[in-house]
Amino acid sequence: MSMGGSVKQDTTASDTQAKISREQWNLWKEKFAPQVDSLISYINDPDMVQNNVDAAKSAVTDSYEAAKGSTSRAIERYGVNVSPEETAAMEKERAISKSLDVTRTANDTRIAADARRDAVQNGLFALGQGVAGSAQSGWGQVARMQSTRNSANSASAASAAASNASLAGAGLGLAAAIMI
Amino acid sequence: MSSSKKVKASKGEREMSKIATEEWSFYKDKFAGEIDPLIQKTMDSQRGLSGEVRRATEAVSDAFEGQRAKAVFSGLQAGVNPNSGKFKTAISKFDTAKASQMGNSVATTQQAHEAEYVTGVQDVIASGRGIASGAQQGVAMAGTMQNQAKIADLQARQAASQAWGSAAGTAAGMGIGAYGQKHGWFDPSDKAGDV
Repeated sequence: MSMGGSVKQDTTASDTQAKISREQWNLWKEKFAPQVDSLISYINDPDMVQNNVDAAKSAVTDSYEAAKGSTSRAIERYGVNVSPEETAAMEKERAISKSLDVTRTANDTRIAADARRDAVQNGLFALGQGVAGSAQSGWGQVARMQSTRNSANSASAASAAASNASLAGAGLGLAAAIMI
Repeated sequence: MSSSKKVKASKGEREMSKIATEEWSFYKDKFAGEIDPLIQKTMDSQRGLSGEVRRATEAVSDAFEGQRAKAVFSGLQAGVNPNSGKFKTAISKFDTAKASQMGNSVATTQQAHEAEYVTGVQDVIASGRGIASGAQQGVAMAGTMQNQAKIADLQARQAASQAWGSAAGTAAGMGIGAYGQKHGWFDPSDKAGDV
């Protein structure tokens, strides 16, 4: 026999909300989490800074090689006669300038790449803290729900015990009355 | 007998559920599809370095060549001998300055490009944070509501059970009373409250 009191709960809205939440989380895991991975790989690449420096050095060296060719073409174009001594002087001047530029550019690039890696790392830490905080907050919510549930269950158990005791008392009273 | 009553969804609640459904569909149709192109754009920008370097190189080269042509033209017009040391040194210095600027420009472009790629990835990640926190808040809200619903159900069942217990107690009491009266347990002249 049903004691009544129970109503079939309409949970379609919260079910839908839970479903959408799952879809959103799956979307994040599928699309955005790999981007986090790529940044982590980027900052953890031991060759990242050196690769940047090497590329910068190559850029300067290539430019000076191109300049050498450009000077030769200009000399030819204008019909200029250049002695071996003059060529050597030009070469020397170019070599000094190139050396300075390679060093300066390599240093600048190293500083920039280091700073960029630090900035990305800090950004990732902040992001990680957010994720950890979110996990903490999520478990906080779950713990509160569990606590509320436990309180309700305890109250229910106490209420049931009281109700049973009351019934038992009434039964005993009835039995005593009959026996007397 | 009293029958169970239900609170039906209000018009506002129904409208809200419809709009929320439409909004989510709208997001999936319009915005979710843009996530991949955004990510792709970031990836493509990493591969687009050669184009950027070429443009930077050409810009510097064009600027220097233009200036050199002007300088040579005006020097020759002014009667400068191309075989003079001054002319030769000027050409050489010009190309060295050009090389310096070009190398610096390419290296700067490379760094800017790499910074742009990193910023792009960071932007993608930042745009996803809203989705992740939305999921967290949404599921917490849904969980809380369902928890409350279950507790309310439990309390309702408990109240019903207590009511049945109380009814049984009352019936038992009435039975005892009737039995007692029949067997002369109580003096009908007794008044409540008399000691």
